[in-house]
Amino acid sequence: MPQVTLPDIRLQEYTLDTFPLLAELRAGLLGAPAVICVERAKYITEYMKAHPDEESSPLLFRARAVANYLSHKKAVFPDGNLLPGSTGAGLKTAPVYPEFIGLTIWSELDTVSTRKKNPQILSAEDAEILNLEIYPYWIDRDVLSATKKEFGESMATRLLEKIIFYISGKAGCISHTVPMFGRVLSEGVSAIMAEAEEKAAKGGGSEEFYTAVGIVLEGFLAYAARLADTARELASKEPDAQRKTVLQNMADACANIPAKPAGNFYEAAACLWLCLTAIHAESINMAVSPGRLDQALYPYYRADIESGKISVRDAMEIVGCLWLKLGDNINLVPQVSEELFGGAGTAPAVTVGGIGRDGEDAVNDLTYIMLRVTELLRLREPNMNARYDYEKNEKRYRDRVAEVIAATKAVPAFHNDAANIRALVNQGVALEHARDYSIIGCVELAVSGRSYDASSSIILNLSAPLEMALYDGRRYTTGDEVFGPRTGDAARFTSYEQFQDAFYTQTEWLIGQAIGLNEQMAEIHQRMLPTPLLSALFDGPMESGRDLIFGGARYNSSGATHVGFADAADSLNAVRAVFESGRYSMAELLDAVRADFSGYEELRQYLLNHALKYGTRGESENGAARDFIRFLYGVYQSHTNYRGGKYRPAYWSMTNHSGQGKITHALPNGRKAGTPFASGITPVSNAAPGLTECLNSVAALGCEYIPGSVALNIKFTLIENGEDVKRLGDFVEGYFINGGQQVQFNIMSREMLTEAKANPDQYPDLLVRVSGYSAYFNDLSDSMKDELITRTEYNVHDGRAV
Amino acid sequence: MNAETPLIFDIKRGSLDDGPGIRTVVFLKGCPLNCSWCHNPESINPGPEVFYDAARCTGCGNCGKLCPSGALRRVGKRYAIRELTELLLEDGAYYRVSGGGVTFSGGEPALYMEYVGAVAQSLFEHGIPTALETCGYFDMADFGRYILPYLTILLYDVKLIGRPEHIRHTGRDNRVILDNLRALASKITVIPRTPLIPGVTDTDENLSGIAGFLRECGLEQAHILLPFNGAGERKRGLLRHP
Repeated sequence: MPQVTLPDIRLQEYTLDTFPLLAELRAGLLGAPAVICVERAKYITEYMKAHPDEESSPLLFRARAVANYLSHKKAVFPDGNLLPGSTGAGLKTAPVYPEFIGLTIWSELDTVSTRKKNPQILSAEDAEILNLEIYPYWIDRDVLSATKKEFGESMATRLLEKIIFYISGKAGCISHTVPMFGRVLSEGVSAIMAEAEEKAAKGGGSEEFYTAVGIVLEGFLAYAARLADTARELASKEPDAQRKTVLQNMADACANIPAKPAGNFYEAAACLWLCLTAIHAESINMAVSPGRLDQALYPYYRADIESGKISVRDAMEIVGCLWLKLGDNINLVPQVSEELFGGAGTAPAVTVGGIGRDGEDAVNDLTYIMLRVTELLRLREPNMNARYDYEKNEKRYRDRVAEVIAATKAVPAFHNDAANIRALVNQGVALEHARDYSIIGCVELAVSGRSYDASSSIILNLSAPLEMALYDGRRYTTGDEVFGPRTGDAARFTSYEQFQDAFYTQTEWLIGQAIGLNEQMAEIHQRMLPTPLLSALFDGPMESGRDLIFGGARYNSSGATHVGFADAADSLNAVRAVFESGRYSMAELLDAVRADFSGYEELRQYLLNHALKYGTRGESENGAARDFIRFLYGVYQSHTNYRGGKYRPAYWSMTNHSGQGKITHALPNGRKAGTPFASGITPVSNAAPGLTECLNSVAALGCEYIPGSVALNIKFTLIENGEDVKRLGDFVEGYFINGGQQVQFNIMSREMLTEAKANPDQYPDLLVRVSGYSAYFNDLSDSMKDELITRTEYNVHDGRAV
Repeated sequence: MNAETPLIFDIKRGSLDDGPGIRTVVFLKGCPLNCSWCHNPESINPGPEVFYDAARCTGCGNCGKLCPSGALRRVGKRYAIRELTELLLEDGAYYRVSGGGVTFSGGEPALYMEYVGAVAQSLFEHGIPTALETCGYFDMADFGRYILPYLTILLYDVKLIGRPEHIRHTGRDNRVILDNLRALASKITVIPRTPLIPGVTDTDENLSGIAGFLRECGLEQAHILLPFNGAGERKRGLLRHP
């Protein structure tokens, strides 16, 4: 049986009307308020408070605390979804993770429910529990506090707390990874537990790890058993025959999975989702990415279809239910983080298409089913990613992905197999494993279930070293305080090279600080937050007897992403243009930047019109962008992390480019104070008037130097018909042939977005791509909305900015 | 015959118009016709000119070498043959995946037979199809020798079928144009095009006359009518002759 057997890969006969259940669940989820859920924090904290003596063996302590939660975790069935299990005790919950940044809402307990932007509902009772029972215990135990306690206050922690230099992922999460579901699906959790038991008994130094795996998986099975019991009980009381069957099916499934192998497609989907809820119970529900679901679930789909157990419609409904479940959880967002992360989902990235480990076309019927379900549901979750191998995948697959982008106006994102596989192989990944890559969170590359990449370890703001080079170690907004090395008074620089040296020195110093802090926090993680459950769902730890955060995975790396890349590159180009002008001086440029160009309009016009701009061919050949990418790569790769892996640069920015831009003063490229930076790897708005030049410039940066991948945002005014869709596909393919790694689209005009901003009610669930993930337009901050509105907008017909 | 390196007043990359697939369109400056409706008035004079946009001018007075605001800019740039070819090859991947290529436009690209022919030949050697947009007013022998062997598609303007009208509105007799078209119809894929200029070319008489002529050439099916583009007026206002 060939892998693609669907008579119509577009599955046009199925619409949302075909799936009343999905339509109802979709409306219910979108309309549901976000609720803060304290259940997890309560059970974990309770256990830890009661067993202070266990602190000396972190693995067992953590396993027992998590198992305590899982075995008490409430079995809830908050809507009519066919799949059992939930992240929190409700429909759309934000669980509290006091280990990480959960404490940041301590001062907002009274206001978080009623704040104007994206309120998160917290009951008075739960606020009380947080305030009195949970937070006091964690006051010096959350990752950042524990780091400061252990290593002392340092420049690195000060920089983190200023927010405008870098953000350290480890303070907020152990996540951004793609687990391996194959074994749980085919052998069941019981098989892993048996292996753990056997290996624990054998000794050899890893007993504690294997014992911890056993403990935490037992907690997982207890949760599944409770789901089975509760579903059965509810079924017995359910008057509605249809709902009764659904509940019975869930009860039957949970009596089997995740303990035993999944028996069919439905059980496989249910098992996979239950694994994710368990992972959310242990660490955090942030960018825990399911990976290549069209591959992992395909054998079950195929068997059920061949035996006539399910129809294509049934499969679509189950996939739809899974998509809705992936959106059942959000992150707790304190007010201060709204500007930087507002509107973000939890970015569970699903990857479809591309080639298989054998290097051949891996697109199958399930790929098309997932694309159609994505097209029909138009949801923020999951973050959908389509791999494309221009040599192996069929054109009709490429064009189908483009068509879904045109229909949803935003998703999926396109990823280039050739470039990404090359980038991973260059990082020492075996070819067959590299071919099995999937996307983490936004755009980052994981060797599915085999690499632990902590891809959000560092979010570095490149305007920081840029300003520190301009102001001799200081930042504009923090006045006289000196942070970076004294690289000298920039007004006295006599050459571009001198400025570039200063900038590179500051950048390298800042990266050093961020990495130093990441390593310290990693030590705290190891001491407090091992991940036996996640480790059990990975290739490597069960063989090596080492937890993931101790380097148990087969491949290891740490990821750093960057905010403000294009503005930094263009600022370097601007400085060069000043030195080459023979008309303006560096001192004048500094004065102009300080004055936010007020009174310096002529100079600003000169910079805007005559300095090289990243995103054009002239810049690509003679500008700063390529060298800067190579420099950053070199700096990161010279550092080895606590797990023996290298640091990898990436370029995606979520909504940070807007939030950080809002609090950053003017820059030499002519960007005015308080305006957004360009997103991800995207050129500055209106700096790249030609689409192919823009794509070529990005591709020319070299995938070898960007092992964490990029988010390139392209906005098209309109994709009208099949011909336009094909051209969109052609542009993507040409970009990929030239080496580009990723591209994501918004198909919307300035007018439409402006109208959506003015009339939010008319656009209740408008899906947009920010930088790496999707968001609902209405959830975004005003500055992020403006950034989307003013992005370069290309006409698909003449490839030019409009 | 013009052997000099022409001024190129625009290079439009990623275009879906002007031929099949994704194309780069090279606009050469200089045209033997002078159509009253021309939407690229900067394309007519083969010599250097500048655009001056008073709306952008900050009045800084630094016009001489480099206008900071971009209010004053030169129309056109000369590219060596190799330089232009390299630029055009940068989008090779897009041409290949989309069945596109390079289109020479203008102005009148056939004013520069040797130059255009050399670039087309080089693209031909790289397997990149080329198209040429022409007003048809050129020397057939030179065209056949320099350009035709390397050309895939000819986009051929037939504006006015009546000789007096043609002379009145374009400044040239159309006999050469029609003769050339008749000769080329069987030698290469020709797409005849007529810009619809209100009250000038869009009359029933003119269009049916053109249709009749194209029928004779066997090109009737391929005929394309181009909607009027009013961009010329604004550009005429910006154009300054030295």
